[in-house]
Amino acid sequence: MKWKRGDMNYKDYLFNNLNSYLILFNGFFCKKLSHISNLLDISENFDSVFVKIKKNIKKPIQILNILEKDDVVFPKIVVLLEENSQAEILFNMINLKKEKIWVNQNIEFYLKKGAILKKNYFFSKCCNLSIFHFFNAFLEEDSTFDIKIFPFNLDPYGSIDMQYLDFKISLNKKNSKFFLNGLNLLREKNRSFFDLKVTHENEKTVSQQKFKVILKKKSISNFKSEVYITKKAKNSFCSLLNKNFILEEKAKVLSSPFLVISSDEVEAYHGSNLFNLKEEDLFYLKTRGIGCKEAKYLFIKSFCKEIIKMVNVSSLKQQLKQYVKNIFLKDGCKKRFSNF
Amino acid sequence: MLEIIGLQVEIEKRDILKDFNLSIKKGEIHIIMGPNGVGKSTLAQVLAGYPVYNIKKGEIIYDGMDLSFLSLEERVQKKIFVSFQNPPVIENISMFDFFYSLYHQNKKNEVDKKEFEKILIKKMQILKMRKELLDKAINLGFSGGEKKKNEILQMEMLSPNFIVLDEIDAGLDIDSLKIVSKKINNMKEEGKTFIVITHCSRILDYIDVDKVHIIVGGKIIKSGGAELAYEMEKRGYEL
Repeated sequence: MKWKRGDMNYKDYLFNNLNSYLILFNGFFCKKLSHISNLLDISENFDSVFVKIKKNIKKPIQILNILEKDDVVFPKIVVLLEENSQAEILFNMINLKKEKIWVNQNIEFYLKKGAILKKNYFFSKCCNLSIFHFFNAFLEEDSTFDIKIFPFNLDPYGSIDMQYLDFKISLNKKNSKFFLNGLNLLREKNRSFFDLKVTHENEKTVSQQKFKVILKKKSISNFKSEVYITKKAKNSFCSLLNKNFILEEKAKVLSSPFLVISSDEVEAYHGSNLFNLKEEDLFYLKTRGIGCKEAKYLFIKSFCKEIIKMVNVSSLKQQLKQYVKNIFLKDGCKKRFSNF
Repeated sequence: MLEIIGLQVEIEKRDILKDFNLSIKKGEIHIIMGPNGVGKSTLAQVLAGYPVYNIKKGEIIYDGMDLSFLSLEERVQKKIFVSFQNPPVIENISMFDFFYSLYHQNKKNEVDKKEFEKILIKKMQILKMRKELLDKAINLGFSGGEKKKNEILQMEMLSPNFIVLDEIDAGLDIDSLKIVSKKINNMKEEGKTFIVITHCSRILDYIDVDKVHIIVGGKIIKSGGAELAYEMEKRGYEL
């Protein structure tokens, strides 16, 4: 494996303080696709990369996906956590091509009894990328799957034009838990499709989802999450919340949080919020010496803070904070907020 | 300090203030009283610079310059503070971030976040505010009294020279009213100037008032000392 190609050093995209990693390089594993329709059904077609975790791994495993060719399909990654094992995965992707590229990937997680998996999902450098990512997770008794998702490009000069993220989570056995916390920052004409299905199949299962989206320019977010609580899933808990913050009038949000409950003894919440900056609020802040640009910064910072503070890898946390501070706010105050 | 001459203010083609005149010297506390809907809060909002009000006539001279030509930012720079009768709930900004930003927007010296938190908590304790409020969004879930104390806390952090308090006593219990009044008196001793808008004379028991003005129909109809406020409370506003 050559670490350096041209000006690019792949090691820059690994967190130096973490020593275990898995590199997926398209030259080794990926196949070129001739047509986009092929992208949508690949889960059974290619060889898999199999990651088996037998015991607790203290430092996170980094999965770095490097793209250098045309449209690619990554091999299916299968992650298996053995009984009572614990692990954390940092899933990252970088794209070296300037041309538009389509990427597909399928990851499956099998969590045995008592296993705990934490996962951070993000993109370091991806220009003109459209992604189709499929996640399937099967959880056994007392296992926990905790995912933090940041599906935007941390590189200020690129963008992920189209994201399609598909999650299917099966809480098969009792006391299994699924937590999803995500933040998405959409700009320009970015499109995001977030499709999630959680099935509570057994008693005392827990699912909690909080997905926040900030939209600029003409971006569109389509959030759909369905939670099914079956008859067997007595004493289960579910909370599902999608919060959206529209910064410009041309951005659009479609949000569909669904709950289908077939058991009587459950606690379940679902909801969708839409925020924007009210002129009265901006007036109030201005009378306290906080100008429009600073007010917008405070709004965005507070909105993102709740999710970013959950990241426990400090270098990633810093990158996310820096992105919010320097890149997402660079336009300053927009016309619609300049009345005062 | 402040001279309002022949002020006429309208909103949606309806006159609210009509030929309003007021003169306040530095270090004085003036009380504005009157029934509902006579223009008391309009006066506060006009001084704050709320753009929906149209100044048709008159002048507001503050420290030798016409205030109506100053932007919101310039008014803050000129050390003018207006407290809100109904402070808004701003869901997406935490109290701490708000105060940290407020402090740094208005002061030149950098203060470390932890150091600033200590300063802020100390000031909150004086006002008998719970420090847990710092983690909440601005005014979200605050009681009426907590909202008013929050306004006073902002006033203290900004350290203004000219202050308009719009119904600051509404929602405050007697102990909180005493604390807020003490703060006002202390600031008066430092040479700060106040307009206090109120409905009842209760606050006059605790603050050192220079003048009381009764406003009816958009203009001051009577001025006097503190005794005027007590008289109005007995007789009502129909003179």
